[in-house]
Amino acid sequence: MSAVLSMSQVSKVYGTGNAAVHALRQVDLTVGAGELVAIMGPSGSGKSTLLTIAGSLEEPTDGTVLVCGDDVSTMSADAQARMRRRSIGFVFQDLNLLAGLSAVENVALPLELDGMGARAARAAGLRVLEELGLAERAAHFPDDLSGGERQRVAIARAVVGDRRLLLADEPTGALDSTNGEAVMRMLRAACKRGIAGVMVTHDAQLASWADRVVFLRDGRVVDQTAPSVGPATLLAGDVAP
Amino acid sequence: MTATATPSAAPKAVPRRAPGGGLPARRAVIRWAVRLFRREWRQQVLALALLTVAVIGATFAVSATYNMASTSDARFGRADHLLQFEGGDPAELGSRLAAARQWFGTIDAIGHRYVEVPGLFDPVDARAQDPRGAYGAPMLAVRQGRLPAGAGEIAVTDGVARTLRTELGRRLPFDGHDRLVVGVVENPKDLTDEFALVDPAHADPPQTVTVLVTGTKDSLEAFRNTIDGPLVRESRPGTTRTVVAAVTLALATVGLLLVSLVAAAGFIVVAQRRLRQLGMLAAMGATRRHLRLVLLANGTVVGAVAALLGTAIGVAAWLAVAGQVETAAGHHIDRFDLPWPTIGAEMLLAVATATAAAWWPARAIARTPIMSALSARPPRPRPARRTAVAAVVLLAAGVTCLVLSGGDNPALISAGTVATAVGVLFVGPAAIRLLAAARGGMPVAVRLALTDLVRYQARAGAALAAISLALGISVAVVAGSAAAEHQAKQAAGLGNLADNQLLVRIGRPTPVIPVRTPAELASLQAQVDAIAGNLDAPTVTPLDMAVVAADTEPGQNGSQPGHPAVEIGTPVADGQAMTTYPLYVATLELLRLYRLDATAVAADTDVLTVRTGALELVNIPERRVYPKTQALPNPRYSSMPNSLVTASMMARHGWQPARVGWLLDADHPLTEQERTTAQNVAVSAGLTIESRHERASLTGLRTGAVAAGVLLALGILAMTVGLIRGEAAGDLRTLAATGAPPGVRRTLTATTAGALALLGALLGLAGAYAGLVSVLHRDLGALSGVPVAHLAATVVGLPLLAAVAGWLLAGREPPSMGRRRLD
Repeated sequence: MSAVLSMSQVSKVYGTGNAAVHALRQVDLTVGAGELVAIMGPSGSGKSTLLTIAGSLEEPTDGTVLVCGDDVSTMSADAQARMRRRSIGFVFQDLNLLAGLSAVENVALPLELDGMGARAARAAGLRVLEELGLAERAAHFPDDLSGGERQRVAIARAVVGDRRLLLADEPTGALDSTNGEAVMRMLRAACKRGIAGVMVTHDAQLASWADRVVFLRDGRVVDQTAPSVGPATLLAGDVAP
Repeated sequence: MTATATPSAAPKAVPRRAPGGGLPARRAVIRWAVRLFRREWRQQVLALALLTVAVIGATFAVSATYNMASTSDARFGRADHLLQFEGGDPAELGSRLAAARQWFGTIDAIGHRYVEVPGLFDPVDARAQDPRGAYGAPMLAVRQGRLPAGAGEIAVTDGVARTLRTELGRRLPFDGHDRLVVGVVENPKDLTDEFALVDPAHADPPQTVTVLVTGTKDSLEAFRNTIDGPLVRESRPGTTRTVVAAVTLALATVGLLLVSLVAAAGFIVVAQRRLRQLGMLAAMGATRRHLRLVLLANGTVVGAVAALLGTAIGVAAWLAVAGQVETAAGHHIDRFDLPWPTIGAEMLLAVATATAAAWWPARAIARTPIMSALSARPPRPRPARRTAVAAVVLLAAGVTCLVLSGGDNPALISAGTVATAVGVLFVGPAAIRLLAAARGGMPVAVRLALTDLVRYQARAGAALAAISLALGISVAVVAGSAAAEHQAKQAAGLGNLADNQLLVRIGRPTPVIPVRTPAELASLQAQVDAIAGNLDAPTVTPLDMAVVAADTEPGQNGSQPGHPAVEIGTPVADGQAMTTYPLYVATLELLRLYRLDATAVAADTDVLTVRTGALELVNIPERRVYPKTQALPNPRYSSMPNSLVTASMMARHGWQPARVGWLLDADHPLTEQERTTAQNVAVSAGLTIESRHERASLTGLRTGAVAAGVLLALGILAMTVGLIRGEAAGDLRTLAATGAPPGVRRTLTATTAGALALLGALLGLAGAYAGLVSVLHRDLGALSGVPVAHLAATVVGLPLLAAVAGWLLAGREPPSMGRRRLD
């Protein structure tokens, strides 16, 4: 399994002096293609910080982050942006879709930002929405979509094109259990197709969908394990679509 | 502990596209920006409205300034020069006219006779003018009826019709003829030009003739050398349209600066509202350039809409009120004669400046860390030191330009005005911090509100800049118009009389005062008392002149013989002729008018006078009598006595006092009805009256400027204060949780609004006066007439109004307090 994300000795400190807060302390994490890793830990343990550093939304104070083999710290801001639109997909707990753009336009946006023509990008976006069973909602605007539909469109946008890494921060936090399960099923399916996935959650039930669970406490990786029995195992070979 | 997998990178195929996304990316971003504008234009309606109002104001101001500029056509028509010939000697006048015709070819002669009106001091200009004159035609138009034909007909202007109490179709005795009023006429280039028009073919010999000619200035001077004696001549001043164009450009520049600042304040609000979505876009892979483009595109759209709307409404408003503007301008206006290229350029500049105004917030937002944007945390305020240094540099440059301009260099005035305005705006951040630093000891809500101004400095600073500029322009108009009025008064005095004064004369002033019996004088005094009674308890001051009782001279212009009146004169340039002025007797009543008593007059003083230089008494048997003078406080009203002869001087020369009139001081401005009644009494008694000539006042302009500035400032405050308070809703929750009373929200909002308004008013005031003092540094006295009421309305009234409005409008809990909108 090739490593899509490789974090080595990554530390993150907010503030200076007495006000310094160590969000991450020398964290090592490698995620291979097709692997879904769940990050768990109590509030303030550094889960979200780890995810944002992995996605180049923040710079680490120390350590190295490789995405698809490229060292993020050596990249310019524009190169990082290019990497995000080509290789990384984000799914947040909320605020995932841009108001004013329809579902398919939201999905196609990263492709257009990368220079693909509007028509081709739209066609690619529609294809992904069809794969995720959302084709009939393609022309709807975010305000007209339910919370679950919005998260699913967000996942579609996160995997459209040639994405290699999918980062999800509490993707089901604002959803009921039915919609939550549907979202997890999609994430799982994306990883099955070869995308490396990292998901932050504090829900053990959702973490059981992952191939591996990494526990953080006070910014350190304190444990990691593969869930013995869980939906991922139960639903292996039965993921949609 | 580590979590590991095989550390090898998978090979990937990189699509061959432009690194920054190229045109497709820009198109996608612009599409989103336009969609957002269409979707959320209501959130920008206040910014859009303020921008539109600014463009309306700029368009209207450009149109009005362009059209209100007085044109020299009022006196020159189509001519280049005018000559003034005396008509006392018809033969000489004829030869001069012939000479002018021979020299210049075509000439246009306009005759003037100054016709006395019973009961009135001021004569009426009876004008003999050819309505089809080669050069004077633009100076004459018929508003009603027709032009006079024949000696028995006359046409009058509105003002003369009122003076003569006549109207179209009525007959009246005028200049020795019984005349029928056949028309109402006007000088379309100067509606204050009052005259009666007679048929030039049947006009009486003129007293003066204005001759309009064309040609070069050298030709005019060459002609002057062919004429013996003095020749009054005047050339058309440099084209006023050039000056107007420069003023219009400066106005447009300042107006657009205001536009850009208002827009910047609005776009900062918009940017903050979209901060999380922009963070999302960045997380998706948008570059900083893409993020900037979102707000720049929004700025362009807003600017274009505001430019189109504002220009359309501004032009429509101009067309609607052009009629009223004609009255103020004093000449007819072609309402479609607008500086269209300037308006077009201004529209483009409005779009450009709105786009440029979006640059500042766009740049700040693009630089905001993505995680800060996603969590909607505002950028950390920057140190105010840099802007303070820039402010000092700009203010120094602006003041220097204005001082060097001398008040008549449009380029330096424009540069200095812009630099000073921007300099004052850069003081804003430092001023906010200074005010916040003084919060110690104040109630917690006030302290919190002042701290929030610093926390949200980007928004507060932009709003403060816009408010300062709006109020600075308003104060500049208020103080500038007051200075202009002051200078006009300095040049022309305060007018002929105060508006509560009436000068009653016995007949007309002549160098020979007819001898009147005590009975005649008693009768006249009774009539004056009757006039005084109608004016409601005025002070009546008799006016006497000194006469040489030993001499008797025949009356002039058919009046009775009498004694020569002693006058005081100053020699004119050539040292031969004298300019003479009436000399009144320094009675105790008259001295009281100047707040003097008898003891204030030195024993050896001959004459108290406002005049200086060599003075000589004339109209007396002795030659070269140079009086010993003492300064008299200048009444600054041209018809008030300004030279008084003392009793000792009169006694030494044996002169006698002769009653010539009375000065009536009412305790209120005289009404038209009171003046008419007084004139009626005067006519029957053989008296003449003189009251204050109407003078244009700029008070209305000042009031309008203050109202516009205050309204604009309140609009900006409404936009900004709501956002700042909405952002700080979390603090409010905390305060409520710790037991703060419900009034805290009101205090917070009122303090935020009041503090921003106060700072804006003070900065605007300081900036406006800095500019005015720099321009008028050679005549600082012009600024002595401080329009206190108008300035107080801005500096005190606006902050109070803003605070009260904030207090009242903060009663309702904002939605942001209960929840935070996510998508």
